[in-house]
Amino acid sequence: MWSEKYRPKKVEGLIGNEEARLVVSTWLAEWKPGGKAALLMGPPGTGKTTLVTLLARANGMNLVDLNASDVRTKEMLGRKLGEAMSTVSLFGERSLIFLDEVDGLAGRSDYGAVEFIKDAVKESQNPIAMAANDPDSDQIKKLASSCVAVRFRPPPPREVEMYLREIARAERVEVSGDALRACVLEAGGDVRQAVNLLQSGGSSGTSHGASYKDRERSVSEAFNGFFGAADKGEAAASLRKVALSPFEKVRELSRSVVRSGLPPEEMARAMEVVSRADLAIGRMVKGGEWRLLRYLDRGLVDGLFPVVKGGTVRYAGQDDLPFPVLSRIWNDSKKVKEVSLRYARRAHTSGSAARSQDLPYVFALCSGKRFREDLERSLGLDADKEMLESYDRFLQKESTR
Amino acid sequence: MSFDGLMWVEKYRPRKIDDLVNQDEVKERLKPLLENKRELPHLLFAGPPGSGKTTAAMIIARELLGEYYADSTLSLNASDERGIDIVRERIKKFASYLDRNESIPFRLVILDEADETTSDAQTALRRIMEETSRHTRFILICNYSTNIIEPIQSRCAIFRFKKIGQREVVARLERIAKDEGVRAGPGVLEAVAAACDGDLRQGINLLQAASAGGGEVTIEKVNAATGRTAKERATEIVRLAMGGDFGSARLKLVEFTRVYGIPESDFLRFANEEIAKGEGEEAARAIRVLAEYDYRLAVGANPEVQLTALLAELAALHKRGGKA
Repeated sequence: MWSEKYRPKKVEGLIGNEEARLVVSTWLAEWKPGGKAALLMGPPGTGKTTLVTLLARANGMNLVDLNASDVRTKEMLGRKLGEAMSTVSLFGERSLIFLDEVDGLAGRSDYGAVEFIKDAVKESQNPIAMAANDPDSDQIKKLASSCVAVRFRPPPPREVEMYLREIARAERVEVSGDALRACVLEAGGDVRQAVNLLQSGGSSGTSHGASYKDRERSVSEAFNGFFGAADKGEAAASLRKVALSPFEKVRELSRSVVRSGLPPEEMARAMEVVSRADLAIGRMVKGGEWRLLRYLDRGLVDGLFPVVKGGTVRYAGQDDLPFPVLSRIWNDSKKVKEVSLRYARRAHTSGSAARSQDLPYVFALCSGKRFREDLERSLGLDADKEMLESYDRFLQKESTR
Repeated sequence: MSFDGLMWVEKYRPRKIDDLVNQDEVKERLKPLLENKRELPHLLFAGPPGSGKTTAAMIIARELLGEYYADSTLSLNASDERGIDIVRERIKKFASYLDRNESIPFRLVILDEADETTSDAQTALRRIMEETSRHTRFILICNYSTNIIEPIQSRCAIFRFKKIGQREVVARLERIAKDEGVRAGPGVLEAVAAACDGDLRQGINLLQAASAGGGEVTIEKVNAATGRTAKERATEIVRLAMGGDFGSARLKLVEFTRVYGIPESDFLRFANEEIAKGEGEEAARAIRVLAEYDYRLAVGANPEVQLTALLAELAALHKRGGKA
């Protein structure tokens, strides 16, 4: 597996996120008992886990790696972490505790886990690092005050492309530049995914991201089993096999329904059921009423299955959107967000108000070259060449819309 | 050119209390308070967007703190950082810091869009306001004072800003146009004022956008500039859905929320304004559908799922000819 074989061996070998790497290694170098934990946030495949692993190795530390998906309760956390928190090993070797996927915590375990971690951070004799994908999740918000938060962003496409090219050279495979770029694009900033795509014979060239990983293949089979089931019993059995969190399950069901192009009446009925399921999940999460979960599958089988059965609806993957829209989300949304935050600070307003009220006018004004250059300079966009170039491309698209 | 010189909203932001547009009552009550600076109470500004609340807060900060304005003011926008942590960490730290500087009466915390903070955060804030009142003052800014918890309201002098009238907006735009050497055709400034509905900030932005590229500002240019606003985009999505085109409506919605990053709540607000214009049974049902999904959005887990279901329902409503 190339993604493991070519996982960087040194911190310097990582691509992108130079500043974030510096922050994390400084944090580790200066950490003392009672200090904050490090929280690495960013999309998959941006090097969070690799960085922590490499830093532990470089500092001669013992890595105690807890993948949150196999730890469910506060007790388990306590048992597994307790020792690592308190001990310095026989040879004076220190440990680095690493909790991966902390944003997935409450979805799978009880409320106590977050509190436990917060206390652990205060008491631990060894540094604790955490990683998460979703900076907006409730768990992350709760943990944020005990942590030095570090954002990881997808590395620039050019650097991913160079990285893939080196691997291709080392493996002696002939790949055209177009095929390389297709892998980069399809992986959408996920370096691990890009390497997987390269190894699996390159991009399929079709719609949304990624050659399916095993997990996704089984999810897809289970969903299609549900949509194509002969009766409710079979539908229920298939739905149980979907190895996703309730939140993801409902989201991906909704995307599959949307993609199906059902006639309006059925579409509305199907989405009504999905909406109610989502509502139930919202109540569960907010009230901590996990027992409600037992009604979810049954509700979907009774409500949704009769509307979607018969083969019109198929699993649409993690995202049902056409590629141009996905690529706009990927490429443009971050720019809009970054520009709006900078703008908001200068214009004494909030980022969200700037996005919905001010930016449309600002984009219109940017059709004037002088104005645009002045604005970019005044917002400090000119210092960041990468940002500026992609922002310019975005504005060009805006002006032709 | 600096940002403040570039954007007219900043360039023409009033620098004196007297220059606030159309807020006579606020001005009358504020001026005496500023004469006795050390006795100033906490302030709560409530009023519609673009009526001068933030501007008034900035003016007060400058009058109170003079050259120490930058160091002794903490300006936060609650809708960007609304959790309790922001109150506990940043506000508390800033407010509790005892300033040895004798030339200023106290430090100042300006919390914009304070009604966006959770009630937990407001409760924490209430304590801080009490404990630090010897050396720190708060100016809280919100649209509706009812969204601020009672105990905080009772600790503040409340000022209600009025929506600025059409005539005052036009007068202000006229002055800006004159200073900028911008010519506007007959009825153009009135059209700008009508489009921004009392929100002077929007009005000034719209005028500047419409005058980009030089030449006389025309109604067409104004319309072109408003055509790209979030409100127009939301209106288009609603029209597509209510015309039965669920697929296109949904793609536009995804673009609206995920590319332009506009909050779902804004979509619902604009959708309501659009649907409420209609009459008859179909509009009435559509409003009920909207209300139902507005509620579900507040309770549900995933806004995307809820808004998509809303569009599907609106499209089906159309096919049924407005019947349930």
